[in-house]
Amino acid sequence: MVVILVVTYSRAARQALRNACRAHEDAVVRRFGRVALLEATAFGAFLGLRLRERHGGDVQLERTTPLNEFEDAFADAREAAVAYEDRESVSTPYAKFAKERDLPSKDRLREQEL
Amino acid sequence: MRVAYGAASWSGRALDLRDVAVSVRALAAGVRATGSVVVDEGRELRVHCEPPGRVFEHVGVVSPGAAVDVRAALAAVAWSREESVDGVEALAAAREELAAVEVPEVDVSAARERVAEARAAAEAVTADVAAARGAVQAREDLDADVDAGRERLRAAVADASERETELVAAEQALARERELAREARDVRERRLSLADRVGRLEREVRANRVATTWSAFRDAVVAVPGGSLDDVDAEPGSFAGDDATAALAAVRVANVTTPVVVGIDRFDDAETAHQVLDAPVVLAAD
Repeated sequence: MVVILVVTYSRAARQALRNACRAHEDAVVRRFGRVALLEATAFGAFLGLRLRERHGGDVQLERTTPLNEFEDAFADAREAAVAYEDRESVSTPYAKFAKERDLPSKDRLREQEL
Repeated sequence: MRVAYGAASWSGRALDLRDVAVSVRALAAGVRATGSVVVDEGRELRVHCEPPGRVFEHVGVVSPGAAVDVRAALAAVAWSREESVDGVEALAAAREELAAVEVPEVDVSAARERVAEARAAAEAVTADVAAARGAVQAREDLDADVDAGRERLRAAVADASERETELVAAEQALARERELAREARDVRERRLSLADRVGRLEREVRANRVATTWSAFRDAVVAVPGGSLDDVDAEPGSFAGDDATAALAAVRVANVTTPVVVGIDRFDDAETAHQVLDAPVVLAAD
């Protein structure tokens, strides 16, 4: 499910977000402090855009999609994460761990655009 | 202070104007506009006095209808007494730091709009290209003359390519603006955390100010007419008495030079009020 992510960067914008979420619970997927996820409906967008209209750059709006780690694009990252979280010694750094097992290095992961 | 109302005038630190038809509201307005004329009931009123400060805004007018926020009033009282409380320097420093934050101007919305328009334009022309291509193909299948059709196709392709170029340029511009906006958000985030810090320190300083005046306020509640010790809790700021008593006690504790306008019937005369409140007083009929 696609959602609209709203992040606020001022006290006034944060308060306005709080009020909007309180008044329109049905359009809110979740709220964390100065951040909220709104339903990706025209109404959710309307709430977010009203905040942006009033508070300008103090309101960041993003449309986000769920991440499916089983998609091909995430294969390297997923395999590396699964293997590393299953390591025997918690103190082994990832760089060393990766080298020993033919997993991608941190730099390679960084370079790989999704 | 000096009060001129119509043809009459009075001066002194304790004035009793209860027999004069001037209202509490007009006197309060006169104090606020000290030196200037205010009009009450068609008559000119002018009050000359020390200009009002923070304490006056909270408890400068004592009348039956005036609500008093005890904590806010006592914070002002402590301020008037120049009580030194913890947190004041930290608050000033935090305010200064907050004021110095400058958020870079970034206009991402124009870039967003340009991309949306360019995308719509590029998509619109794709259909034209397909149609032109289809038309040429159909004419070729019939061995008919295709020159005009080819010309249209060529034009459509050129148009599409132009729009595609604009879309790419618009997307690049948007990516640059987004990068700047991201950097600007770091500054906004810093500004927000400073604003929160200022807010926390303001509450802290206020609480400290209330605490530092609390025992003096407690004593004052007993000293002013109508007050009872039963109404004063040990917890600073927790007062169960009436608003007028709170106001009178706060004035007694405060260091004030601006006249207090008293519109409640708790003093026999202005001189007594002046003594009890330790402030310039003008009594008026409410």
